[in-house]
Amino acid sequence: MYSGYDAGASQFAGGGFMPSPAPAGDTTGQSPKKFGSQSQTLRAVTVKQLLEGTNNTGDDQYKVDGVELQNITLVGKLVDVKQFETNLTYILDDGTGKVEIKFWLDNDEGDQVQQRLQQYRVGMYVRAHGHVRSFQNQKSVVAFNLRAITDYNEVTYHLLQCVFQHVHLTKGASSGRPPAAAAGPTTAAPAGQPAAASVPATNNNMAGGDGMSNVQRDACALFNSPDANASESGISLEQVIGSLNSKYPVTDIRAAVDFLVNEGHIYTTVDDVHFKSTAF
Amino acid sequence: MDTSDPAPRVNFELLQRYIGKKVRLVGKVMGLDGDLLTVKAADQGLVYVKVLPGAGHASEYVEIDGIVESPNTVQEQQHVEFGSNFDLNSYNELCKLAHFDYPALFL
Repeated sequence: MYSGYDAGASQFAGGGFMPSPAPAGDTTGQSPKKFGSQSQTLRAVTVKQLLEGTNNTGDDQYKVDGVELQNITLVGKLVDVKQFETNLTYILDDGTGKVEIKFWLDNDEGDQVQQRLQQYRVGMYVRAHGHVRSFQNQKSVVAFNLRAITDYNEVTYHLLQCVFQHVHLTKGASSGRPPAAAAGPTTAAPAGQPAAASVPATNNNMAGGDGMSNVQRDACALFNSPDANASESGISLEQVIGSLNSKYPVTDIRAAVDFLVNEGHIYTTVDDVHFKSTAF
Repeated sequence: MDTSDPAPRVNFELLQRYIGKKVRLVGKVMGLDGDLLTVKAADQGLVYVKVLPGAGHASEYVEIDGIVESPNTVQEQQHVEFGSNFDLNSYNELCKLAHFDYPALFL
């Protein structure tokens, strides 16, 4: 559940395609013009959402749910295909409305035109990626990618993703900074800073925002203690178990120590069962 | 861009709201008798689709674009074959979300 939330949010609020940490500028202020990964979002939308998108600035910057559109993705059925000198124009119908999708052709793409025309025909479902543009008050989409849909569950998925992103942007994030808050609790809680409060600490035991469970965090604290650091060989697994077995099962403690090694928090010293923290 | 002629995604229960209007119905093909196709909608209700002459209906799941004639009959205008792998339960939830919870995005 929790990780699903993560991945979905990152696609339109975080770093674009990968759940990457928010850039360093995130905490220092919310300048109106942001560049870099924060602005490169990918929003799943319906045609109706696009049509009702607002544009206050007069240029090609549209907002849906109060957040500027950058890259968008649509899923729908092609109902018309026209070939022009400089572009291919498709009409995509997703059930909520129809939108024109232009695919500009490069000069050296001549051979590929016929291929594209054969590939994307009227009546088939496609996923398009592109930007919203307006011409004579008519919005259209300039596509940079078109892909035929072969698994039709993607139709359901896309429309559910439209709902999810709409809800996330209108209700899910804390006030004032929707995209940053969306990334905050899931991917970008910096060390020492409490996780943002917009997502309540859920019934998993990862309340600290550092991605560790309680047993992992307690074990890590033991290794970070001054005593453990003062010793040349660090502390042994037996000592960790001795300190924590009143709170946790032994198997969980062993697993936590393995986790800390794998994540680079601690390293082995004189043998395989003595460890020191990497924090010093 | 044009949203004047939408085709709302429906299950059996929602079909009756659109008599005389266009809908988009996804369901499981149960059988074809002459030009009458029986489709099980996402909420299990049976819908009879008057198919276009000569239109093949070979796949297990199908999406029908058509006009609702009565609470359980639809006149086909177009269709798309959705293959044999389609989760109708998820689709049913989508229909309900689109109509009851977030119509602003869809209708």
